[in-house]
Amino acid sequence: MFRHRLLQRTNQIKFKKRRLIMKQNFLFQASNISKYYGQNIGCKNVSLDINPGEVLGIVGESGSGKSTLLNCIYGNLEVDEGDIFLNDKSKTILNFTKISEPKLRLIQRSDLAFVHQNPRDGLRMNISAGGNIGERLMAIGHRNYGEIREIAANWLEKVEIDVSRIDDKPSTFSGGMQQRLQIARNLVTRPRLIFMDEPTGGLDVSVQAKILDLLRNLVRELGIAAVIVTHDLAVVRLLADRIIVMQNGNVIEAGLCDQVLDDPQHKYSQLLVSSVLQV
Amino acid sequence: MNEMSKNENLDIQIYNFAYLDENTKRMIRRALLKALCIPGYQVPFSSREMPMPYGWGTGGIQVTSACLIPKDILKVIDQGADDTTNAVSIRKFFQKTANVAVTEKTSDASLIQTRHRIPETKLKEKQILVYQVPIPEPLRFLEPRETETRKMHALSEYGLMYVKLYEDIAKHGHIETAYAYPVKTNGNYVTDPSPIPKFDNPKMNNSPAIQLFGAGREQRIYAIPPYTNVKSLDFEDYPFEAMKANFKCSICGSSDSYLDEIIVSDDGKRSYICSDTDYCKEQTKLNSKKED
Amino acid sequence: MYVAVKGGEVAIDNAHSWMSEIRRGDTSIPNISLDQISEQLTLGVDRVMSEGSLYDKDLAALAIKQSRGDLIEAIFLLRAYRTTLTRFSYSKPVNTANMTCLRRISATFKDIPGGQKLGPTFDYTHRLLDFKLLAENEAPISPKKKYNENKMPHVLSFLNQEDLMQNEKDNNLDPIDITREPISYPTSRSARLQALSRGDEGFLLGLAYSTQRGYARNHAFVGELRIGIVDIELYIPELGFEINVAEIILTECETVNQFQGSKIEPPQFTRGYGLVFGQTERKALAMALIDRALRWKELGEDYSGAPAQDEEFVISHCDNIQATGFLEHIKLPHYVDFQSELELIRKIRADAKVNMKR
Repeated sequence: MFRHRLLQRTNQIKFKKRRLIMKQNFLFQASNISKYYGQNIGCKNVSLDINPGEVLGIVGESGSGKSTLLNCIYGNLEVDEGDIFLNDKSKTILNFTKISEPKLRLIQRSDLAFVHQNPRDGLRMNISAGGNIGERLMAIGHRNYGEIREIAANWLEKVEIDVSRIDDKPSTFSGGMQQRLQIARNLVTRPRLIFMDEPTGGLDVSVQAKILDLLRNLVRELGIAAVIVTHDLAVVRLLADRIIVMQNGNVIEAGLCDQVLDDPQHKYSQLLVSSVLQV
Repeated sequence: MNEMSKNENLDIQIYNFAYLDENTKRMIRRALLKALCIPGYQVPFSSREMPMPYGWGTGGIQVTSACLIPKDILKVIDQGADDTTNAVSIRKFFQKTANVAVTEKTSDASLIQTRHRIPETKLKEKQILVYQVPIPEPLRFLEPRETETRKMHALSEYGLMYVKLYEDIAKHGHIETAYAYPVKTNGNYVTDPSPIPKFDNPKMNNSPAIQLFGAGREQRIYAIPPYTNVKSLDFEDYPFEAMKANFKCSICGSSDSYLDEIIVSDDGKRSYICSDTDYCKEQTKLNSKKED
Repeated sequence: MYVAVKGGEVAIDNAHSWMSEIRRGDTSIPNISLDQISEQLTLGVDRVMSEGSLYDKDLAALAIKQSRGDLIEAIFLLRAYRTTLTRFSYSKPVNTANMTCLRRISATFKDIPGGQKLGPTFDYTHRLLDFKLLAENEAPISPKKKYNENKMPHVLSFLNQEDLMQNEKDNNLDPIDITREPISYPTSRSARLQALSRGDEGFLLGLAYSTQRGYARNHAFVGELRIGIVDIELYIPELGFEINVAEIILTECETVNQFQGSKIEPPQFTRGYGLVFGQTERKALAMALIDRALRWKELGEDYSGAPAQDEEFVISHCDNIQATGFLEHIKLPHYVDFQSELELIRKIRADAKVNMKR
């Protein structure tokens, strides 16, 4: 117990230190986020920050509060305590918990993107693949049908969907294709930070590998920062630069990805690592 | 006949001029002024129950009631015609409650209440055109929630509106909306022009007349002030196109007015006539003068 | 020239005079009097007054007569008339605790101060057609006195004393009047309650039923249902005090519902509330269930996606005058819109044929 507390303390110090150093060029920062569901804790006192182009993994078993945290910092859920900062394109620091909803939505559709675990939540199922990709473009003012279609076709190619499917509805796609379409729809306007909630959660293993590969390439190629929530340590091993481990709504360990996975300090992290990485 | 109109006059005295009480009119006028200041913005107003059903023009009637003055000359059309059932009923209502002069002639009218058409005769300054609007929200069928659509307008989040147009072109090669074709008012708010055929959309642009829109059931008023830019939504490479049946009116011979198709015989033979009955009459007169 | 599209004016006049004739029916049968309607079709009159938002038995009876018994049409007549009435004042809130009850029941406590009183109810009757009513001039006499003069405090106030019931706090705001301000969402509970109280009985009944069948189930018990007479008091500034201006009959229903508790509050019972003009207990009951379902957000409950939890859905569709108007307006001519659809579909079909040939 003592060691646990010590670790938490050192983690907090680490965070604070880094915040001081990165003050100017951090992209996104959440400090002391808490969210309650009635008497239950969703997440408690969580802090994290993300630098431009960096991939942060949030791991933990289901019910550990990682999805709650993700929805809180994206602005989908109202937080009970804490602040969320984004360093926007004009280098102005915005606090999500203070800005108006219109402003938040503006940021959500320009600087941010959100990939849902279930593509049905992130796609318009009754709109064609081309329309799905085109929506964000049209939202920011694209008004040339031919151009929008061409960009949509390019993105279909990028996410390895046959361009001939451009006018088909996502409901006729396989689960893997739907997820790739959702990624294309989100990345088409080149956001600076993308949130992903178990992006490979509902897919079988071979499809998962393909999507992870695709994500890794796209994120690196476009220099997009990402927050990935997953229960699968293989996913963070492949994609993340840093990770935080959550249990019962609390952050119990945080650090560089390799560091935490190779030398987990917290008992629970050790359990997680040992149960997965043996494979 | 005389006796009957006397009785009707007795009837009138029970109600205020143009039916609504002055407090209610003032409330509506405030909404109208606000609407004119923010072209295309839907102003909520506390619509009253009228003696006609919702959906039958109660919004337009309330707007007309709030605008009418005794020296007004009123014209009421439905589907372009002065003598369709709804137009007759509304015109009679204002004759009864406001005792104003009425006309069928577009150029003589100071206030025109319309359902589903804009008159063919060009409107002038100081004329008021009042539209009856069933669903004022152009985004309604894309997003049913009012809380959501109001935010979309506030943020100009019109991506979804264009997705609809995109899908039409992808599917049919055309934009598939034939009436209630959405417009952007003053480069700002996407606005529902009420269910007029898209043939009428260009008439809204830069019109010298005041255009007022009333939606009673949905409790919204919006407006387009004179000489305001009104642009039908489209893509650069798929520009908006006004459309009508490619025929001539079989009464007046006009080829530039919007035509109604009528079935004239049991074997389904079709004929086309002007939907705007006043315009048709005027054209016929002009033609007979020429022949003379 | 084709004539069928002309002559609307005459057609309308003819239709209306025919309707008046049919409304009167066979003239060898006596004309129905307003007294007969307001005395013998009381529950219909009550429904028209409540959904018409105007407490006037004579006008409601007139509306029912004029509408040939079509209650929604009668409600419409009353609402349109209401528009023309000047609003000169608001009464003091009625105090339903002082109601002179003709009916007062609780499903949560057997014995309550003031006692249970069944009153005139269809409950426990056998729904058998009573052919005795075929004979006219029957005058049944009830052996019991009509009104109970006992003091009847609200049943839920006893739960309040133990703090088992969530206490409704006065927010010191004037309630919203949705007939004077347009509804904006999210709306307040006062606006919701007014909308529900004016709302269509059938719509509310169906929605309330859906909550019982699992669409936002909220385990309602009827804490108390009371029907009776209350005083309407008006504050007269010139006099400096309130005077009694009317007595009206109201139906009030308070349900007791479970509540799980939250971070700051231990579990407690909560209430759904229904208050309606006249003797309208089905409506008041339904209103209370829906009111409770709509309170999910304020109580920190989950949104399960049930229609009865969806404020915009419930409130914007519960008004039968709005609903019937818009539904029936599709009977109006739509020549112009339909014409443009015709043009478009022909164009699309023509293009498609050309493409197919290619």
